[in-house]
Amino acid sequence: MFINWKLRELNLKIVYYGPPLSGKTTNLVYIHSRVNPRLRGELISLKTKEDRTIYFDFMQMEMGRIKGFKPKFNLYTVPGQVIYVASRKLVLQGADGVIYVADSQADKLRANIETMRNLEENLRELGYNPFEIPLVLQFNKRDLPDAIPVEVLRSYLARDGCPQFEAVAIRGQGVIDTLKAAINLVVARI
Amino acid sequence: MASGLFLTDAQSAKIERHLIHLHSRAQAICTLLADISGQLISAVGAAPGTDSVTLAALAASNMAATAEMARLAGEPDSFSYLFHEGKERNIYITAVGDTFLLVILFDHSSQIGWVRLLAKKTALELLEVVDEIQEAGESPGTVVDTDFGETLANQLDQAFEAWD
Ligand SMILES: Nc1nc2c(ncn2[C@@H]2O[C@H](COP(=O)(O)OP(=O)(O)OP(=O)(O)O)[C@@H](O)[C@H]2O)c(=O)[nH]1
Ligand SMILES: [Mg+2]
Repeated sequence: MFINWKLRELNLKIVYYGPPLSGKTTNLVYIHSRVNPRLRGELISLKTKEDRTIYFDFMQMEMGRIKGFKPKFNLYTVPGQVIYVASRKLVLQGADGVIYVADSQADKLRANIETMRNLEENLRELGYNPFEIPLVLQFNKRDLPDAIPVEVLRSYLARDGCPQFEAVAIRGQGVIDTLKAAINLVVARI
Repeated sequence: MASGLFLTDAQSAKIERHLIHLHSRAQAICTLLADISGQLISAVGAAPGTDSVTLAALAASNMAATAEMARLAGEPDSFSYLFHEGKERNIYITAVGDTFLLVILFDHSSQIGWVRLLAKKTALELLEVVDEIQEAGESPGTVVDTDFGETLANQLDQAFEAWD
């Protein structure tokens, strides 16, 4: 969180986290395409030739002034691939909230669990209490035939009271709801 | 819990003054202060609005990647600055303490030696200001209440409604 009292700006950082190829970048690309262009900046993607995130994706979104204050949201994604694990922690610095994008496919359960542990570990190393930072869970790729029941994913990944959404990010389903929940959660925490 | 950064009017003004001074003496195109998480703190010059926001995010990640490389290379003190030289434009990035960085975008009408000198001096001056910031500041708790949350939720709905 960064407050500039002179400009009356409130800056908040939200990070999309999750296992490889779970759809983090797809979420951000959809948001960028759907939000009023007057309210958003460029979408920056640091990626490989194969469209894999190598460092992060980034975009800023701002709202109109509320009680004189302009809220601005810095949205980031981390790379899911294990070889870029160092950059995940760097991107997580200063985060006010996390959106965890899980991959619903049966053979990704293990990766989902491991990446959640890695998130907790990184948060701890950065000085957060991993169970206190606002977290929203997204169960993505619900369109795939081998998607496992949400209850199973929930039992491994959810913590008490954390908002959860089913999504099909390639069609934009659940994407905006997930983001709104995260923003509302982060702001409620201030 | 990682805490926030609260900048008072006076601190803002001080930072701006240092940046403007550096900016005009270096004849830079854009001069900005960011923190290591990529958050833009203050910017002067062209590339206004979103562009400086993006530049801040990229500069911070560049610096972070460089710090990791320093660690791998066995450099005990990290690399303190970065310089990218282009055909038309150059970027100079230097650390301001452990948590902030100063970014100067300039062209070939400015001498790199001169820019570096000014950057070094300004980084020291800024360090005094940012040292204060880290300690305390007015929290937004008074502004951000239930009303604020509700208005924000409405605005969010509108932001994603058909706008074209
Ligand atoms: N079937 C299906 N495919 C999806 C969905 N969301 C994303 N994908 C696909 O999954 C692949 C990976 O998506 P990305 O958004 O690049 O995933 P990522 O999490 O950013 O991946 P990394 O950055 O490498 O960690 C792409 O081919 C997407 O089209 C979904 O809801 N359903
Ligand atoms: Mg990605």
